[in-house]
Amino acid sequence: MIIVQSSHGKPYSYRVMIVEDEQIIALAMRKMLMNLGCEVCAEAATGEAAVAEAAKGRPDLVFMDIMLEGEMDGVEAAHRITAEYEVPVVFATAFADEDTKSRAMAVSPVAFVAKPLDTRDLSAILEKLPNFKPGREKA
Amino acid sequence: MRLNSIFRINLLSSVLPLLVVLLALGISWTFIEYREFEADTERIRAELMQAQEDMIRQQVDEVVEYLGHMESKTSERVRQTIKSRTEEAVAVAERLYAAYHGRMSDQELQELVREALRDIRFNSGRGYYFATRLDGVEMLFADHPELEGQNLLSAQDSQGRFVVQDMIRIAREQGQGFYEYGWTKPGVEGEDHAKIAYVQYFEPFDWLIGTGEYIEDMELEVQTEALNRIGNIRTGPDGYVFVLNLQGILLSHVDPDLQGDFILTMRDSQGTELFKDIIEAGLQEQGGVVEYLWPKPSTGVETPKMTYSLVFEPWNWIVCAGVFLDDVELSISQMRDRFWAGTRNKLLLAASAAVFAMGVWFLMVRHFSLRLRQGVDTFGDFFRKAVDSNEPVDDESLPFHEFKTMAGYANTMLEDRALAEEALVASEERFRSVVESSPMGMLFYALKQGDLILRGANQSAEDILGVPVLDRIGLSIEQAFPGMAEAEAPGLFREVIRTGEPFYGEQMYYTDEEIQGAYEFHAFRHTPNAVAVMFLDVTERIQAQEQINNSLAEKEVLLKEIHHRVKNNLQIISSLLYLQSEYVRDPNALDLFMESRNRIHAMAMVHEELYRSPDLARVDLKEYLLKLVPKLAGSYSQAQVESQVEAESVKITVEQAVPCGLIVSELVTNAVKHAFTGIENSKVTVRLFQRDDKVFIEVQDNGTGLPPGFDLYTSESLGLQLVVNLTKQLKGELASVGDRGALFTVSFPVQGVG
Repeated sequence: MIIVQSSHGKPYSYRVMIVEDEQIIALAMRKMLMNLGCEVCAEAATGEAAVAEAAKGRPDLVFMDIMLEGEMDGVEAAHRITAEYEVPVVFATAFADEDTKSRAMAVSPVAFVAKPLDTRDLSAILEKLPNFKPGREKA
Repeated sequence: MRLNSIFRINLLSSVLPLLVVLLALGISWTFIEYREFEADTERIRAELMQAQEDMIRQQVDEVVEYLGHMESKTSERVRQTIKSRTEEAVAVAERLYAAYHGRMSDQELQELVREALRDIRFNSGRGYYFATRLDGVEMLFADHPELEGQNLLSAQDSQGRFVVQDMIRIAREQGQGFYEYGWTKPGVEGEDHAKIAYVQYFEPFDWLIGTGEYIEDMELEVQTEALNRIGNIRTGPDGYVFVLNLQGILLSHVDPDLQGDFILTMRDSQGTELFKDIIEAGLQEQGGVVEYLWPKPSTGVETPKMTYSLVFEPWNWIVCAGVFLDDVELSISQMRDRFWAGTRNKLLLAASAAVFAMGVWFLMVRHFSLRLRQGVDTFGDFFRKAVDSNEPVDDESLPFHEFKTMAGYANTMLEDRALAEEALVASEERFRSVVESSPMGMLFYALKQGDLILRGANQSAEDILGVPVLDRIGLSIEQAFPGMAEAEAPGLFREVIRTGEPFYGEQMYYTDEEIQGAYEFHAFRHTPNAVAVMFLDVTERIQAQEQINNSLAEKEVLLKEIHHRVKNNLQIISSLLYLQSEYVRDPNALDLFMESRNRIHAMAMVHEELYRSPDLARVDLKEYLLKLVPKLAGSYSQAQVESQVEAESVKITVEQAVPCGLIVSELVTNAVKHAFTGIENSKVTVRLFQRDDKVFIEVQDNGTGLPPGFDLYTSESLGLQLVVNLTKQLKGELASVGDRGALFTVSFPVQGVG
């Protein structure tokens, strides 16, 4: 088991929520995040659940898959989470159609990362989190 | 404007030119005649003048000849006179001697004879007798009785001639004879008056008896007689001869007041010193002509006159005869009158001929015009009837063969028209049936005073629109289709009429997102002021198309979903491998896991790229590599390797994208894992470009290079074996260069979709 150290030499100790409808992918992410020192405080498979969990758990960061089951997609959920609870979001998808991508950009996410994520992607995101101010939807 | 009739023009054009030509001919003929006449006049005037001149010259010549004759006769007359006088005196003496001889003494007898002769005077008193005894004693000298009884033998005249001696010699030797000498003259001074004497010997007394005459006296007499004759010469009422001498004294003139006057300095009303000119002209060898003004005897009016004058040298007289030139002008004027009278007659004759010719011509033209009119009327009638019937021209009644030919053409035309009409009817029928039976709705609008008026429609229009349009023909578009008032169609149709640009469009009516009706319509201008609108109910086609579009969209969604699903599954596999690797402690085994996961990533990213891509069949290799290469370069923790992608946009199919992705994945992984042992600033560069239809991918590192004897095809590395095999799958070529770092080049032909 490789423990990836943060740049300041300490493990990342953020409370992270994972929104992912593929449970195996969610599990792999949980393992990776835990290896980086984070606490996965909540997991959700749908947008609605994600909003509810975010309200309940108030995580430091949300990893959000865009294509979700149910009425609410990841962008919509991320919009509500950032707007209502000021929680920064990472979209865990590199590619999306242009319409979705522009909607996603309106949320001002911390990053877009291509799935499947690996440890290196995650540590890079966690590295820049302290300086990140979760944005509001512009306009 | 009044329209001209062919016939009037025909008449005018026939008669007018003739008139004009005749007029021109008349004028030019008159002009030429007049010019000739004028030339003739000049010639005649000159001839007349010449004739006049000749006449007066002849007159003068005659007078001069007469004067010469008179002058030459003077001396002879003198001789004749004095001879007969002398013979008379001798006869008297002989008579007295015969009667008284013996009865008287010779003394007494001689006295008787002397006294008988003493008082006899003749020749205007100038003539007298003289008698001289042959011994020289003067016996009788009637003019100078004091010399009687004296011997005058020594008497001489001014020339020194012994006059008495000479006379005695003539009497003695010849018995009688003439003698010329200079002598005294009764009542006149001087002793040198030319005198001629005739003496005859009278034997009984031994006398010579004679008488003499002064030549100048006789000459004066002759001259007076001549002047009287000349003064009586008349030619016509105003022709006369006058004479003046070189001193300017008028010796003879028709005007008795002027006779004897000194007229040398007289002038006429133009200031000409005419008599000086006359004298000057007269002194020329042949005489000369002078023109001046002089009162005409018959009228007393000063009139131009031409006078010929010639000198008669023996007497130094200038003989003149003149002619008044108004007579010439009068003659010319009379000639002119005769000419005009002649010309007028000729003109009248010509004009009558012309009028007659024109009359004939007019009748001919009128006849021709009437016949022409008949022809034209026939044709007019024909054309009037031809409007609605096919009655042919009756070419038998037409006057000229041109008309007959035209009639032939017209009838042919009529037949052709009949055929054409049939064809037209058939054609119209055909087109009408096309319009009427067309499944396409047709509406015809004409623009009239700004309104689009519905002019026609077919059954299909009614059927398609569901509106009884056929009943609304003649209404404006807004009246025919009340709903149309605010629609854009009227404006469009007006625009089509205005610009002539056809319009094509579709109109659709939706109800709750479902198409209720769709019309495809074409509007085009078919006459400058009318638009035809054709339309089809394309509802079914549009609906079908909508369905196709829908199903296509569904398929697209489905395809996206499949790509998403494939990608998701690959991610799940990757996640599973990761989760499995959590339980592996062997670094070599972990590497193998990582390599496997990278390969799965490479494949998954193709699908992600595909489902994101607009056409779902191709991926942009550039975008793909930009994501893939950094991820690969960072996936191994042994070293920090910098990666760089220099790529053109190259689109390839999914069949080629997966092998491509795997090849790049293997080559980059290979470089990151093996190339940089002990190398700093390690870097992997991936280049992508296309030349023609070949895609080139280069993977270069700045590492240690390839080992000596390196052969791609015999390498035992799985990665390189995969590269070789995948290149083969791409039908591509593979090359490697390894002296400074390693450079792998893969090239393959780009594949079309299919």
